Amino acid sequence: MKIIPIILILLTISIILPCQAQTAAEWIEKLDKQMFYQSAEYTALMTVHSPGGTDRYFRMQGKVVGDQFALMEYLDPPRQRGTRYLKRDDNLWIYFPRQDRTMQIQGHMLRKGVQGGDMSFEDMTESSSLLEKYEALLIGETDTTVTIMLESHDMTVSYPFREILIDKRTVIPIRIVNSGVGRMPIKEIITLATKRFGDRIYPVSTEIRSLLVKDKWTRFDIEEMKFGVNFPEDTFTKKMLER
Amino acid sequence: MLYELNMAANNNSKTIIKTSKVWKSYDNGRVTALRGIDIDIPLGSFTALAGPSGSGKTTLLNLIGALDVPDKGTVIVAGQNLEHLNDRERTQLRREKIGFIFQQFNLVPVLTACENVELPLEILPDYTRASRREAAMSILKRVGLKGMEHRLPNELSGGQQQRIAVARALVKKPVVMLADEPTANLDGETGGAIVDLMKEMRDTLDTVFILSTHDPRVMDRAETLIRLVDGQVES
Amino acid sequence: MIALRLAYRNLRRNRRRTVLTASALTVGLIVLITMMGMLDGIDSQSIDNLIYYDLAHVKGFADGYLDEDFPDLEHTIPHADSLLNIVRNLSGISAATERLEIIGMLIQGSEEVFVRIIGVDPAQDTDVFRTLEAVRSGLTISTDEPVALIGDRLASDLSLNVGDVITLLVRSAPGAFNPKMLPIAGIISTGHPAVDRMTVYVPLAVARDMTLLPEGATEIAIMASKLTYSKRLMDKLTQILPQLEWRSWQTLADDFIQLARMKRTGNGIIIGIIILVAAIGLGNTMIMSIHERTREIGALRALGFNSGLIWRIFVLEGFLIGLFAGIIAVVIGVAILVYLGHTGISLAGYGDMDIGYPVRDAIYPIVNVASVAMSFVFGLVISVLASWGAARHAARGQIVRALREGML
Ligand SMILES: Nc1ncnc2c1ncn2[C@@H]1O[C@H](COP(=O)(O)OP(=O)(O)O)[C@@H](O)[C@H]1O
Ligand SMILES: [Mg+2]
Repeated sequence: MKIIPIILILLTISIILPCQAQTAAEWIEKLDKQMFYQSAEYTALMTVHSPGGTDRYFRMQGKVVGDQFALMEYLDPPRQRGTRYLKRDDNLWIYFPRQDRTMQIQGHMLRKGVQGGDMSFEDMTESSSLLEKYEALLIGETDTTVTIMLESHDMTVSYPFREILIDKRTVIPIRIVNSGVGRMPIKEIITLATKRFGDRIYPVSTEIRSLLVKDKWTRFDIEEMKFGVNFPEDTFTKKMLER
Repeated sequence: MLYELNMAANNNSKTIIKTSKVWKSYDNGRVTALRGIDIDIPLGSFTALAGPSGSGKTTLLNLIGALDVPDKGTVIVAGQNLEHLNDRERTQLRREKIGFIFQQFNLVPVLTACENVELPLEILPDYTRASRREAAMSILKRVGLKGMEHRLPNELSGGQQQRIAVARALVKKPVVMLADEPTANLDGETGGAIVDLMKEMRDTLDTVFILSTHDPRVMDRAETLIRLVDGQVES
Repeated sequence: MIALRLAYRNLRRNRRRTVLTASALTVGLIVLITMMGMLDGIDSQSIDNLIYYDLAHVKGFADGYLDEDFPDLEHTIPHADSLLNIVRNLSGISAATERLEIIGMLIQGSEEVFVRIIGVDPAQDTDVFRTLEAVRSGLTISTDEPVALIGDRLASDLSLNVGDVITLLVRSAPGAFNPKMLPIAGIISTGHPAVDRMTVYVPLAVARDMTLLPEGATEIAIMASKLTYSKRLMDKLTQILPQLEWRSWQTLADDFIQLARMKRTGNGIIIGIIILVAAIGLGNTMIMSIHERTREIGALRALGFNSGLIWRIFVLEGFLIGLFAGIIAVVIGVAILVYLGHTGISLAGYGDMDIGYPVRDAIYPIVNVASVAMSFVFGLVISVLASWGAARHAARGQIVRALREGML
């Protein structure tokens, strides 16, 4: 279930580029472009915090190729172990090892909120560029950051308004605020920590925080990450999903 | 007197009950109750069936009364060969032509004297409520129970109960009256009176009476005596 | 006649035994009658609740809407207002309104719960439903002003009061999230748990705004002029507005009706056992009665009573016990039902437990003539059946043995 944020993280991973003053669209394009990488393999720990409840932990392992293919598997807790998600382009499947059953998340099912409407499966499969659906406006700039407002007139997007605070130096989004139709903020995504991998810097700790429900957040901590992995050809197939 | 005239008129010849070579055994032949009984009972007779206990008296009465069927032999009652009757027809015969009197009276305890007497008429056609009541009242009067019509059996003495039984048996004017040791549960005097009553009834009702008994007082009052010993008629 | 008299006299003679036997059956029948009355009460309350707070008499939905597990905005009625006008002018319809139902989250502080959000037309919803009249505190929805009504159970679960501001998070029909903050105008209490526990009412205009469906509705709800819907009305609606799928409340309440039937069977089994025990007692009494009267039976047979008549005497005895027990049970059972119908059986002790019916607070049993009659007849049938075997035994015995040994 929690692959979504992983993809979001990966979406936000970017290559450090030296930069000059640029337009909002250029910033987004850069973000978009720099998100793209050939391949990666990671393990991560997800902490789900519910208000008043205890934190729940999920450990997962994933393989990603561009924005086309992804395979994710839960390692922990035991109850979830072996549950896998496969994304191929816009298709998403879930495999449940206990029932030995594979389910495709399709059509309007993609719309259904995962975890009480916070996010949908759709978010998991979305692979189009932000600029395809949003108009970008530069609404603030400091020496080190720019703030860009993404606005969509297409009401099929989950968040018609997204405000992104970008670190100019690293082109890493420091904070993203997603808002609904009436511009009411719904949640924010915050980069808590970054790490250098060779010549690149990536966010390795990200928190998604609800702006409507008090004290509800989910954090992703990447424990290990490897770029430029060559996966066997059949890695992103249903055969491997159900293996 | 009247009886003798009747007998003369009928020339003592009209047989109402006839058994020939009647055999009856119980318990799959382990007990043989009757061994070839041949008797003729003429119309109007007052016969005592005497014999010690276990000699087959009740068995014979039951066969005559169409309550049971013999193993062998024929029983003819009022012109009907019982062999040829089915269950339903035997019931019909009992209902219309046979009256029973038992040693234990066997009255229906929840019915009054009058209702007990009406009982046989309940299952006969042609009787209305009123005519049943009238017939019952008149016969109760004749057995000497006037004024006791509304008593329940347990409010009456043994003799009175047996009088009701006599009335109940007679109310439908049966052709054959069968009394199985009617005096055995009564003291001597009362028993004698009951037999006298039955005899009196016979005189007015043109009915055959067969009484089984081992009471000498009854035998004395009978006009014909058949002695059974060990399932056979003693000559 | 004579059989009836004998049967009756014997029962009277053994008064104590008769009363004991009948009592067992009476108790069983009283339980049956009360239980049926309670179930009838629950059914009728449930049906009222379902009709007046949820289902109306007939509803029309967009094609495909009913195929979904949840109310879903992909299959809505696009120009509901104009369709509603057509419906309203049909004969056989006393009122009609439109509603827009959305599944969303109610968020308050650190709490978030799934709710049904129902947009209601303040001008005409009350013609069909009683929901807006069920406000227990605060004010109802009477204009398009953006306020919400919430069920009392939901309010107490979330400690919400009139005047508190809640956030409703929904996805609009196209897909974009569209949260709204609304003050609670009033708290409703309907007795329909689904409504009281998980429903939020907002003005239709607000719901349309939230879903971005300016003329949309998920359903058109109709009250028929006659209390029950007729097949003719359904046919007419289907003919005139074939673009909608029309459903009667009976169809929509199918789950409930199935459940009610199941509960009835479930309870029936328990009661069946009680009555079976009573029936065994009755059968036993009949066997005793026959045993005691064997000589009498023999004598009656000798007098020319046929076996059918003997059989009838004993079956009638059983029947009379059943009749006696039944009459007493009906009198007592109906009295209990009338009493409980007045006072109600409080469900307060069960807390928030779901009894599986759209009923809460209290059950008001009713006297349903058909149910009472059925219980009564059931008692008679059971009595006759229980005495059947013994009576047959009495009728079939050998006369000679009965007379000689007092044994059948
Ligand atoms: N139903 C019966 N079953 C078995 N044995 C019987 C039955 N009825 C009579 N008997 C036997 O048949 C014999 C004749 O009996 P019964 O006709 O009653 O004699 P009585 O009336 O002269 O005393 C006796 O030995 C008796 O035990
Ligand atoms: Mg004898």
